[in-house]
Amino acid sequence: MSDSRGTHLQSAIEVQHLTVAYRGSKSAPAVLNANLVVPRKEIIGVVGQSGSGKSTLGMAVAGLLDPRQCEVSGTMQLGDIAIDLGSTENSVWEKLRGTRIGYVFQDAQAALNPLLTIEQLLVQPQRHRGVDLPVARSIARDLLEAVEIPDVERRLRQYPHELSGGMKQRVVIAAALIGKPSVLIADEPTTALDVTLQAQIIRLLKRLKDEFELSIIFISHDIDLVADIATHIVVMKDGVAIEAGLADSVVRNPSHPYTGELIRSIPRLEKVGFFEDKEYWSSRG
Amino acid sequence: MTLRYLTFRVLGSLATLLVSSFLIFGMVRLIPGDPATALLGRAFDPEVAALMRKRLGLDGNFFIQYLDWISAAITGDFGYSLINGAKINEQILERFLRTLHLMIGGLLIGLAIAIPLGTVSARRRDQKTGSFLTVLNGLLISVPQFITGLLLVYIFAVILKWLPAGGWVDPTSDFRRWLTAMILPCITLGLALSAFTARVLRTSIVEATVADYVVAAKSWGLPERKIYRWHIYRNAALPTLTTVGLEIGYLFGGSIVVEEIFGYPGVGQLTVDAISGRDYPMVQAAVLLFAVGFTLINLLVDLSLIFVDPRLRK
Amino acid sequence: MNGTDAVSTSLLSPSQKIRIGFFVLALLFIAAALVLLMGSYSYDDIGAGERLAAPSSSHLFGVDSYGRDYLTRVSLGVLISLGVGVTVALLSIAIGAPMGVYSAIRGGWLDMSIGRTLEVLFAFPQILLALVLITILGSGIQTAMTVLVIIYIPIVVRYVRNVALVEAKKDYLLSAQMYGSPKFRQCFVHVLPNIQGSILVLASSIAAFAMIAEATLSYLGLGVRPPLPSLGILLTENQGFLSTEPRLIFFPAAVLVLLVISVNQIGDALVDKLDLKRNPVRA
Repeated sequence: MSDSRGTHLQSAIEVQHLTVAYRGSKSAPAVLNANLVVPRKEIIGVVGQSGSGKSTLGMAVAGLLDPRQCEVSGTMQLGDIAIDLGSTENSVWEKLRGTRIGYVFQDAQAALNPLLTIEQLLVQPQRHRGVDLPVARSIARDLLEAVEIPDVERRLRQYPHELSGGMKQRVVIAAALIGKPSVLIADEPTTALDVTLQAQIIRLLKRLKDEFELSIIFISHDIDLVADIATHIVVMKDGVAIEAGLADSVVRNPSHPYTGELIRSIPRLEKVGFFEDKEYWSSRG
Repeated sequence: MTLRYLTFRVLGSLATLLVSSFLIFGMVRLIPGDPATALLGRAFDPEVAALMRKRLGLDGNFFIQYLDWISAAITGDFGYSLINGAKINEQILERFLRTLHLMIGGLLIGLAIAIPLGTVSARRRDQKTGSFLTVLNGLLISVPQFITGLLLVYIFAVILKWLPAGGWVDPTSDFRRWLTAMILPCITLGLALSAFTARVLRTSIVEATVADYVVAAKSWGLPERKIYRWHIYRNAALPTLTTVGLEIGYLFGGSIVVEEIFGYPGVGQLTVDAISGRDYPMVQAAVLLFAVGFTLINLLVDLSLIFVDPRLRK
Repeated sequence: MNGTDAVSTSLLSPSQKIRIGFFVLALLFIAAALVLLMGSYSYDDIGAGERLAAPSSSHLFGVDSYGRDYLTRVSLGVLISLGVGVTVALLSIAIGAPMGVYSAIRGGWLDMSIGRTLEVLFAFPQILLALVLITILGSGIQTAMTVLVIIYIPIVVRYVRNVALVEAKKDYLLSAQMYGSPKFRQCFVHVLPNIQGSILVLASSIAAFAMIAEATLSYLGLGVRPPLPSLGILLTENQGFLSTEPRLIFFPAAVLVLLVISVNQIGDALVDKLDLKRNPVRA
């Protein structure tokens, strides 16, 4: 008993036996019996190619899957809160989303409502939680500074389309942190960006981890990138976590041949993904 | 970019009007045979026919006559009716105002039906209510306007005897009777408008619900109610607004039908009578008026989008 | 967008809807044709029965105010409606679809200029185009159909062009291009057969709206000329009897609504079955 309490204190999130199946789909579950432990103030990487279930896993942990479309089972220990992933009410999730778990999206352009200013986007969720307007505004300002956006006053009045791609991704990160969550899920946060911006965002995430005492689940198809940022790695293939361990040992000494493949040739990985694309085959015949 | 967008739209509207006015003025020349001869029929007289051709702008250079016609039209002078000899602008203005009343009433009723219908059928799309409303919406689209109108007359005027079957009363002499006579025509016009608007609204809402920014808003802890209000409705409003602009164009067409059903003396009835009676100057004036109204309203809708959609600004 | 509608609570499956739609259309067509072929009255025979006589065994729908057998008139109205719907749909697609496909595949200046022309055309309200054309050509059934075909061609071109543009990005066409298949061949051998479904849906919308539009024009006295009985004509002619002889309004109205709903049902079901986007045809 005291042992399990001990692990809870050390880990920010513990996911057990997570299974997700899309309703009406006859193929195998998107995620099958996955376990995941995220130690406090650490970054854990989830690697896999597209369709491996890594994004579904992130969405499930953040409570973002639509129960009308997915069947979820499994449990999660989030700090001192135990959550049944299959039966937790939306009203319970509403209190956890944003304040306990933040989510950083891959496509920043699409994740920001084009009709609202950056200030409106950042202030709204706080107002919903009863924060006074001046306080909410100053928190938004501080956060934009924390994600290294220059000329904050002007940015707050701007609309998403007026910002550059890297700037939008920073806003998405700021928005995810607005409710002071302890866990951040970053779903391919740099894939849409060029190499320079990618390096900047990675540095930023590392800094924010220390500054905000975050535990981060970093999801990516790029094992090199993940090995660079994460202390632990989980490798996913076809919805199953096939390998897990310390980043260094997984990369240096992969126990599963698939992991080796991921490491050896990242360019070839892209090609494999292309030929497995369902649309490609269905248009053929 | 705002300025460019503005200039582009205004110039576009002017070009549309120019093309329309050419077509409208030129149509008399495209009528097979000699319109003057056809119009005069048995009463043919070479002198009268020549005069008639002159009045129709058929006796000289097309462009010069077009310029004469359009410059007079801009000052509101359309000449005289071939049927009753009265000044066209005076006849049209009075009837145009009546049609305008009808259209405003139809627009208000149409929106009052479309907004709840589209919203509820989108939000309850997984439930029986939603599919029932969607089927109802489909029916509304399938039923021609004049049948809806006749059905309403049959129920509310013939059977229930609550409302008059049509006609028009001068509101300054009897406001109450004017109002009751307006109800059925406005509902008929509004129902047709609401069918398409509601469908577009429903689709726009459903499409917005799967947008990434909705999932993002959810991840920030916003409840569904607020996500709808702040994110989904706002984005769904854009395509709907454009549709309403186009629908107002169809209101012109719809008002022609409604005026016929209810014997409402508006500009639509005037147009139909003028076409049947070959009163060409009157047809030209009425159709030009429709074209100007349609273009102006769509220009206004597009310009109002600047206020709603920040991407069109700056 | 279809994914969000996945949870359907619809009572009938798409295939059932299509079958029912075709069944109703076939029933109306056959019944109308039989009445006209086997019936003992002509549509303009003003001595067929006693004026305004109620329905009886010799006049199933009764007699109209001119003494004409109403069943015969409604039946001819059905055939005119169906004829107009089918003809307008076929003609506007036969003319518009090849233009749309060719424009999309050919690309370049041709596609650009067609795109611009379409924009100008759509800025001009269709109802006005109809009024102008009717003024020029004079009312009548041919005019009505010509006007409708002219109005629907740009809609067909735009829709087919958009569908073909999507299709042009697919691999089979890319490989056809790589092998140097001529543009013309690409259009008619590769693209057209692959967008049949979309064109079918378009055809059903056009047919439905053409039936409504013809009836509306005829109702206004700008379409089919009496004594020929379009369903719209029957409604205008008998509107004055709405309170005394509602059957004279009921029969043509019900038949017209039934025709339009059946065609629209088939179109909607095709959209669901083939997983297509709805198209924006408007009467």
